[in-house]
Amino acid sequence: MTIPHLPWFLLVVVCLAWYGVLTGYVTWHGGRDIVRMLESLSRRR
Amino acid sequence: MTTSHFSPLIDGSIIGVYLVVTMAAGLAVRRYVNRVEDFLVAGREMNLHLGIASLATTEFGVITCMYTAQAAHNHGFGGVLPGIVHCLALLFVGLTGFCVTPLREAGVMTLPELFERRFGPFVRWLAGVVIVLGGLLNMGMFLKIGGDFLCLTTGYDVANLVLMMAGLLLLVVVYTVFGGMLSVLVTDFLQFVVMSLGLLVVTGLVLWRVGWDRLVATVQRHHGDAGFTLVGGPGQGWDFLVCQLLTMVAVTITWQATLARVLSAKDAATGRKIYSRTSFFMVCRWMLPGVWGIAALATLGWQPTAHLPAADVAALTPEIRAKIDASPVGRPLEQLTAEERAALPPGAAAALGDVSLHAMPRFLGAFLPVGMLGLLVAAMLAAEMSTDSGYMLAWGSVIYNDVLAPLRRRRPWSERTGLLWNRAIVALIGVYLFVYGLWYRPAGDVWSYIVLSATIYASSMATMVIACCYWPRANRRGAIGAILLGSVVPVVFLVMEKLPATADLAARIGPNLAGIASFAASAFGMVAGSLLGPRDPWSANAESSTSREPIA
Repeated sequence: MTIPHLPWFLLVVVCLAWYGVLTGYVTWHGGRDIVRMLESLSRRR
Repeated sequence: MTTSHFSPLIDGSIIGVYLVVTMAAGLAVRRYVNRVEDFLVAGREMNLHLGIASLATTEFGVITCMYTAQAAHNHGFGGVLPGIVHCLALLFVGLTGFCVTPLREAGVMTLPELFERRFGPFVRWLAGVVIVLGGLLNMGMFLKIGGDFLCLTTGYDVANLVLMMAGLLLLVVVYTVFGGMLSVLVTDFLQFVVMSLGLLVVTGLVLWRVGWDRLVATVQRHHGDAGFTLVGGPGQGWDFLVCQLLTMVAVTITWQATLARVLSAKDAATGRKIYSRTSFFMVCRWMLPGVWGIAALATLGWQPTAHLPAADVAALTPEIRAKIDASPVGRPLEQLTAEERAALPPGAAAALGDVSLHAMPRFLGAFLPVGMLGLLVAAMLAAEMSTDSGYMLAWGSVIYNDVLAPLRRRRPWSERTGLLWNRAIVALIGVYLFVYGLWYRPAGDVWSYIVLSATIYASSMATMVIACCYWPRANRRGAIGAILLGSVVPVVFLVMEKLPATADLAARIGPNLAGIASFAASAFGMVAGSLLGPRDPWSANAESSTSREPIA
């Protein structure tokens, strides 16, 4: 089975994959960042 | 005409839960906001991951989805070119630290603050005015287009647009006014999660149910080979590429909403990483909604008159109607003569111009099943609220920090007064968005309007930032020349587009050449002004030898 305009198809797939990985990574670490940021601001008050 | 699957009970509940959670989170961090620095730059406590999430969500709003989908609808896969250019610009700046390293190390909150150190308080004020002018014009369409999207996907009458806009605005203003940048960062994080899920799931569904073969066949049928090339298609020639390159690099080093993430970062290295690691996101930002735009063309086809009210269609002659429906995708009036355009019913030209913009939300409303539609609308609401709040804060900070600076110099304001002013400014920007969005209609596609309004500020500010960082000879006269020439050119062009006497000339010149001319004029103003005048006898630190040195 050939995929028409394969480079564009690959770009779409890479975008989906990259974005999926970014989402997971940022969700995991970003949550911890928020807690640290609020703790730091609390100490300053 | 398509009908939406939106279910007030199921989809409405999903949206309701999301809004309650977001508002609660945004308001809960109010108690951490005690100083202007906390309000505007979250106390400079933003870490890398939050910075990436925040930058990604602010730079991805409903309007992004709409204009990127419109670009792919009208140009095929080649419509993704601006995203690729933006990616390259972010990568270049992130890897090299071009301008952003000296900016972060200077410890300023806005660009005009930096300009004062080098060129004096008048340049700071003038730069602030131009930044606010360009920034507010640029964001003027956000709320209206967000409202359009919500009406079209949920199937509610576009006559309810005003209510939709007002409701959106109220939500955004409440948590931005009370929490400032801190609320924006926390809610950005939540919105990033929701928005990302929505984007991924919907794109997957589109690829699965519409299918890649059908998307490719649609682009081939409506755009030919030009639909698969980045440069060379209609409206995407070399002038378009050059304008995009200049604009994206300029925006990357000057756009307050983006730069705020660097200025809020712990240090310059973190700021650069935020840029370089977010860069590929810009390709995704254009590519994924672009797939939706092409799918909209595949399922709805191109028949612009089908979206006019029945009375307007009846008023068209069969010849005019045939010309409109046979027009190239995205250019419904192209084959009409000037007399035929003048004979169109009132409002019909604007409605026809909106057909390509509205195709994607119409498609999604009919394509997505119940439940999924609720998730998507929640995701897009997330994106819209995040973008609106980020931008309101960005321009609000420039108004407070720079345009109002002369007032504060006479008698410094307390932190409490400063916070009050910042909150009032944000609320007033909200009112402006509401009024302007309902009144103004762009002459061409939304992306062209976005780029041109951005060049009002980006051309002169980029010239000045580069000069500040790397050219010791730049002086106050050059800065004023750069600001005036860089902003006059795009403003004149926007006015020319609207005046009947000059509209044709403006159409022949085109927004790309106008944008390039803006950069050229600004650079000329800086160089000529600086070289023709003496070195500044005055500087922010008159006795210091660094007054004429670049800040890098």
